[in-house]
Amino acid sequence: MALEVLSLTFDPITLLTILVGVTAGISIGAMPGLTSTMGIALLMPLTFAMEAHTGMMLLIGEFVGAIYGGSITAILINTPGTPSAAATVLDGYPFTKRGESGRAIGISTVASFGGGIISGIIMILVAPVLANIALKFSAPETFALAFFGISIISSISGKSLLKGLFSGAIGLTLALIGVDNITGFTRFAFGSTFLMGGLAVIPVMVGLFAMSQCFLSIEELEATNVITQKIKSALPTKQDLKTIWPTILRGGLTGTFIGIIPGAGGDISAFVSYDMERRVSKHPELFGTGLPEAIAAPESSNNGTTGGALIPLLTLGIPGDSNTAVMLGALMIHNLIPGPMLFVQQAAVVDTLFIGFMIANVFMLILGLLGIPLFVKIVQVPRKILVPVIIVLCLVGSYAINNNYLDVVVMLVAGVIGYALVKGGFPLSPIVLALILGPMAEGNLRRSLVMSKGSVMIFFERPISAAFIVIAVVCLFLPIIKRWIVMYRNFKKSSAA
Amino acid sequence: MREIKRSVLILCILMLVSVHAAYAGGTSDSSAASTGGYPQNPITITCPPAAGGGTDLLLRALAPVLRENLGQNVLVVNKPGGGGAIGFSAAAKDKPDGYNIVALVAEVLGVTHVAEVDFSFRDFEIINMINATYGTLTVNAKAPYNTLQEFLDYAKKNPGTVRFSNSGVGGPWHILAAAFASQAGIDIIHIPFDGGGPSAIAVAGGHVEATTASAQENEVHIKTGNSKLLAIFSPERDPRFPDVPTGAEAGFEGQLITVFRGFGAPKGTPPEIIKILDEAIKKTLDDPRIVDFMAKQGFTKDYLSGPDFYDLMAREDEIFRVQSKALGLGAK
Amino acid sequence: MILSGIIFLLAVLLLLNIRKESGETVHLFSKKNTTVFLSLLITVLYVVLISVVGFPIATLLYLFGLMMFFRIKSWKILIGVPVLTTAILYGVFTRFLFVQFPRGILF
Repeated sequence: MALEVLSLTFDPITLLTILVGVTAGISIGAMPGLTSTMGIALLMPLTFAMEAHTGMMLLIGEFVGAIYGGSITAILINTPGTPSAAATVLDGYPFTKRGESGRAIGISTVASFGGGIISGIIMILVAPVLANIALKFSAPETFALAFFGISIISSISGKSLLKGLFSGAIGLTLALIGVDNITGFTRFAFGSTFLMGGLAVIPVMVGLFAMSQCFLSIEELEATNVITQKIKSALPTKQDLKTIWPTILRGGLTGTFIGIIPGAGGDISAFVSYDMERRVSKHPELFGTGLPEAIAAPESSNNGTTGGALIPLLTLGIPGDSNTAVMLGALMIHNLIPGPMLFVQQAAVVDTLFIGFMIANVFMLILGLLGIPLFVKIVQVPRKILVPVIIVLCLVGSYAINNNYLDVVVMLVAGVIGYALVKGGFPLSPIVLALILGPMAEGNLRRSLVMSKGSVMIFFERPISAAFIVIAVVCLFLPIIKRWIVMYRNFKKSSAA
Repeated sequence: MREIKRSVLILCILMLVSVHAAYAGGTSDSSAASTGGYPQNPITITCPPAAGGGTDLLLRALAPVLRENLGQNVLVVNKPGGGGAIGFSAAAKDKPDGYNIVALVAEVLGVTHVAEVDFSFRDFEIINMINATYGTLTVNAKAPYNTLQEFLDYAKKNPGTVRFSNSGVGGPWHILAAAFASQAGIDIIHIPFDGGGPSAIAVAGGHVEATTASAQENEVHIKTGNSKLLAIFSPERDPRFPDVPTGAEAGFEGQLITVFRGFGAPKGTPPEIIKILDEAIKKTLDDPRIVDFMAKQGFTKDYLSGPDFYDLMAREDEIFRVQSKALGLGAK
Repeated sequence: MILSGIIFLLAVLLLLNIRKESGETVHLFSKKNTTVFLSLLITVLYVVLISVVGFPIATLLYLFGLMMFFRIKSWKILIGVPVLTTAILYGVFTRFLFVQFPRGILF
């Protein structure tokens, strides 16, 4: 059987497919507006004609590549290419401003690779055991996770917590638009069918980050155009690697775990890891200025979700995130019915997928590192040329999501709002976080309450949800408690003196 | 400053000129496409459900074969959102020139009773129906009841505690559960999720007691042994689950919700074109590649002609209307 | 649900009030920004134009026009970049990704 697996995996067609998948993935991920999930949905029809393992490898390769690819534009032009890179802009773009974009991309590539490999190892070794956790997750647990996620806003607010909360409030208000899932009541739709569907995260994100960045760049068209990027420091230094390997370990594990949770994917895990890294760091105040570990954390984490999300998908047929939700359809089409039977009856295919996953990560590492000189050149294109092209890309990307013209309008409006907010010194990331987590939190809160027939105790009777809520509350109040302790000590000192 | 003014001026002139040229030059002949020689352009199928779902999959499999039968490219374009409202609303407003058709799925009925939308199924020319799915009674594998009757007994002994997950407020499974409960005389709680998949997962994980989602959506969990299928509310047994009784066989003579899939076109599309499309789709359904695909993926072929499909929708719409009102849904 | 809406509005207003006290004046409509707003205007025109003349032509015009507005002199760039960008985008999106751009009169 081992022989069969090896022959399936190292067949040139399979390898080529993985390569194509990863390349396509990186491109799709880098393009603002296109997401990894979209890529899988678009590539899926192409797999109909392929054999099962080849087809799935194409999709898995795209998955791995796209989650990484988003970081490229995040670092270079302060725009997340996919939602899972939204945390990478925080410290990624400062690197580019310093002229060290190559180093940043290198760190991101290595971290993504590390996170992916860690999740792959966990997937191969302990998949069935961990998968059962996925089954225990329902509305209360998801709410608790979202609640925990929202508490992270304080961490990503940068210098002003107040402004961060304001941004978060904006995000939550935007999230309210649309048909309420629990009662069918329409909110803030002003009679428009389009608004009934709510604001899609991608046009808002692209507009807030990319368009506003374009507007800011337009202000500086005449200025000394280009920050020369140091090519010499194109690769992360040995010191960098030493600094970030514990980060990668932490991020990879966190990402894998969050990936296993149904419905939670790279976008959430990136923020959670960023926050975690800041809390364990010896210099948390430097976060946001361009620290290697601040890039390594979200990137290792979001790639960690790739292997993590595959675990419940293959063992239980429960998708761990939106990408795997689409992949479930592909699995069924190729007659790979998830479940314990899959591992028994089609063990060879499953093993092929596992090994293929690892190979995809290797390809991603190679392509990423090889591509650094190319990526860096992009930043050196004069703004006058770059900005118009980026605007067109944003427009096309926003339209392509739902083939809806109005998404482009949303993007433009978000761009203007983002421009105003940045000028006012407001952080943009909390808006994205709130937009993603808000609906998740509210929907599941109310769903849980219906499930429990109105009893709030449901969150505390269930161990997992109770745990998340406690952690969230502790995280929220810990800084305040710390400050009180310090104040108390100072008070004691001054009264003793 | 003068430089900016000049280039802006040139730019605006350029744009104005092209707009004029466009309007003056091409008065596009969007009125009645001559049927002699239809189709002459690619055809777009608007798909309100999102990419990757069952409907999307089926359409994308049909498209290449349909292309052969029509002689023109067939494009599937997803327009998700609002429970289908966005896609249907856009499709109803498309040009009735025969190059825009839409996939009509059960949501076209449901969403009109939940929210204020600007369309109804009557705003379309009905081409045909190709497929129907039916709801089920699926429960957690570890539950103490093993037949539909045992489940009803349990529900009657425990009023107000049995929870049914569904794919969304006002959606087919919600309505089916409501119809089932009112007919059986049991008192249940409805918990909406975001789609059939999550509602099936909720049952598999034991977070709710039952769901009326389709066999297809529950299939994975039945096979992994986390859920068990008690009955299927369809006219005949499902070949993939030959041991599972139909609702009628299990003693429940109830209303069937048919989750249908079919095609429609904007009102005003010429009847000759509708006929051509109908024939082409019929031919596609009989193509061995499609027969094979549908069998493998569990899509049954349930063909209904345009008028028959319209009647079906009218009947189902009444069920949706009655139940939605009873549930307190709808435009306030 | 309406309650939560009100609460949010209140929260927002509260924060706005506190913000005013920090006394930074932000110039949203200064001389520096005329270029930005003009660019925004041109972009909006472009979006409208797409539905009139179709994506390829509109994009060509837009890129050409905007770069000229930004005072790029080199004709090689003024022609080359729009053509290349439009061609690649149109090709990739319509052939590989099956995205359908709104169709205008000509295209």
